[in-house]
Amino acid sequence: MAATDTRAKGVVFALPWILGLGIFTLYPFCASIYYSFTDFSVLQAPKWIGVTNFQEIAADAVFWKVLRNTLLYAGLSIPAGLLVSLTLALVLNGVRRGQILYSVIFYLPHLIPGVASAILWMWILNGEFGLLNSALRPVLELISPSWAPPVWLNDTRFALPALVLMGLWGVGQSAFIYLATLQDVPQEMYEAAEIDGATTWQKVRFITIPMISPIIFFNVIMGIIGAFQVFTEPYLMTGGGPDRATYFLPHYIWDHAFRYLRMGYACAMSWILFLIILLLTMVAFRLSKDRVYYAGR
Amino acid sequence: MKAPHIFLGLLAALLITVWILDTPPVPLAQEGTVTITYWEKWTGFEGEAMKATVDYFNDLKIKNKKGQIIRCEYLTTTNVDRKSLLAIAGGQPPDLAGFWSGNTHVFADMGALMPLDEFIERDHFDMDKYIDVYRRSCTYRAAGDTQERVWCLVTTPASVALHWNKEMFKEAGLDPEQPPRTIQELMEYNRKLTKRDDKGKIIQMGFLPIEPGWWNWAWGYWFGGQLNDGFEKLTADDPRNIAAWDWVVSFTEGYRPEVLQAFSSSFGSAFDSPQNAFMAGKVAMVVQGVWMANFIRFHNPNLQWGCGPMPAAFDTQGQPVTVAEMDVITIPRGCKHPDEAWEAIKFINSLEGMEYLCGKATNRLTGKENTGGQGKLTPFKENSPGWIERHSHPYLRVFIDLAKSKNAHYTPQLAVWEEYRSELDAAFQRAWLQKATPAEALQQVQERMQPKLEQALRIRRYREMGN
Repeated sequence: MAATDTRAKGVVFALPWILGLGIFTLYPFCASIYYSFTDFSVLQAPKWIGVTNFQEIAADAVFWKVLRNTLLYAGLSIPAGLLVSLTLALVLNGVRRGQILYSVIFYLPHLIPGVASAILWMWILNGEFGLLNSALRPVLELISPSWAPPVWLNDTRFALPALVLMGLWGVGQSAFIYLATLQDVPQEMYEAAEIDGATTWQKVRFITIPMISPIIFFNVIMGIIGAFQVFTEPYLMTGGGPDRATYFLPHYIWDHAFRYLRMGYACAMSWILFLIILLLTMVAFRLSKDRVYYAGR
Repeated sequence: MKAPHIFLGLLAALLITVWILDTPPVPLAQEGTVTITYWEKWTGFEGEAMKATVDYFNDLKIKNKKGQIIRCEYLTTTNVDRKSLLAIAGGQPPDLAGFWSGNTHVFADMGALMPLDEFIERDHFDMDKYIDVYRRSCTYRAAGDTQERVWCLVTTPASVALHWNKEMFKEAGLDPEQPPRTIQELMEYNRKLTKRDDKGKIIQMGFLPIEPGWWNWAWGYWFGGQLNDGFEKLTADDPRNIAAWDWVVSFTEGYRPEVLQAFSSSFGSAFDSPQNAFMAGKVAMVVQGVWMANFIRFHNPNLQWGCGPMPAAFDTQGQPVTVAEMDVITIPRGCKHPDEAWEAIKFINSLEGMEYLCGKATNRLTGKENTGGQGKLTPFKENSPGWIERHSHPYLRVFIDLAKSKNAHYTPQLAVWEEYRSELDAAFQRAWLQKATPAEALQQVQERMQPKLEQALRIRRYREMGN
């Protein structure tokens, strides 16, 4: 009786969350499956059109281009983010004085709203007056007077890498998580390795990385999800250009849903995006089986 | 009580106090008053002018049929079309919504707006007073309908013209009072006005077609081209459109794409800023709208400038080419007070209301003159005597004449217009960056968008059959 009573109370207390999840997440999630098979503009009732949306997507050259862009962005930003944040954490871990101060400094960009940081980076990456090119220009001119730095966001070749570069600005959060985990790695292991004559790299490769592998894995999963949902920065900074070089799938979905009023088509693309993220996450889990070390297992 | 609890208690008390103080008092519904809501996109001078006009409407205390005074509540709303879309779908729309002329017909197609014809007939509202291009832009035969109807009326009418920097003309040895009259002359002026530094970097241009880049899809109009032939056929690859883009892209000849991109990136991204290419004296001639005078006055009041029709490449027979765009006011379907909303539209679209909104005018109740309104033309063929002379825009007549021209073009009322425009913009970038010839780029748009239009029309017919 008491157990039932406790369970009922628990359910009542959790009810606002359960209702919120059901109404604002679960229902739209399920409804979008149905909408993906309809012509739906939001303003009119959905009309069943079978697999027409999916057929159109398969033949949509722009969809394939934005999908390629999204995969490329993910392929560049996830490893780059991982490498930079891990390196940063390792360096910070070695800092004896002012570690907290440095950690806070590196964490700060993560607290800046996406819109504000996008505008800030538009100026940093400005081809003519940008901070980055002001630093690069004298160096390049030193090498060859005819060399000029790229115009980043205005150049089809550099716009996407520029967004990846900008993304690195926010690695503070994952670096912070790595740092906390690094401090949890038993010192005895390093001491034992030192006695055996291990180099710094060997210690990192054979002790640090295996010991923090669950956190690396967590960050990779979050990185995959984040990279495939990138929207604010390209939307504000490039509008998907130049020549659709930074046009990503979330932006394309948004255009169809709210600009072209083709919510059905947008839902169909959202499901494809969802399945891609799901597939990659599953692959990551499969690959992690032999590579992630859980001390508790 | 433990210290953290005291701290949390104080924090909660502080937050509640801030919330109470920060919450504006909800106006009590007054007996004999009916309040209508108006969502509008504008901020800045347009927003202030619209707010002042709504205030003027409220001052007039116009009554509805029940004798209640109509009070209009003006709310500036970002992404007004998207928010209205959801509000209409949710059955809680505002009584008035300010849209763009480019998407009103799409909303009309989806049954999201009320046609205004009944009100117009009932009140003998004069539609003939409008300049033709604006009147036609308000009218559309929506999906499933047998006749054209009026779906919106005008709030911010505009047309576009060539603006030139007189000081830069003088420096280049050109007559500052004489703009280019032909496309060839414009090219010649551009050559004279373009400057490079010692290293060959462009520091100034006479004309840069991608500045501001808002009408890249429309260049064909100045070559006699069209983007569509009726509602069912797109004509992106019309030879005259290709010729126009060939001409535009010829500005990149002799430059690597990066050189022009570097130059244009120096303007920053905000039009409304002192870095604006025209106001900063980096580009001597730009195609801009009637609103430009406001921004010049704000950012560079000492700029010596002129404006006139953008030259065309075909014989216009004295009818200059322009894009006549406008923002509109609509009554969303399902709103609570359509009759009262119409009264507000009627006032804004009266000569008194529109002149107050668009230029210098006097509030007849208070006798006070406004600050100059939004500094634009009215959409009407005739204005009050002396209104143009008192207007803050020194070249207002240029824009009025352009709007009245037979070659004034309004946004094509196509079911897939937004997507078509996106495709044209993307194709333009490809052509400009020399990744495709204009013919190839426009051909790709045609091949991509014509089937999309046909499919949209097929689905529309399928819906009509189902209904």
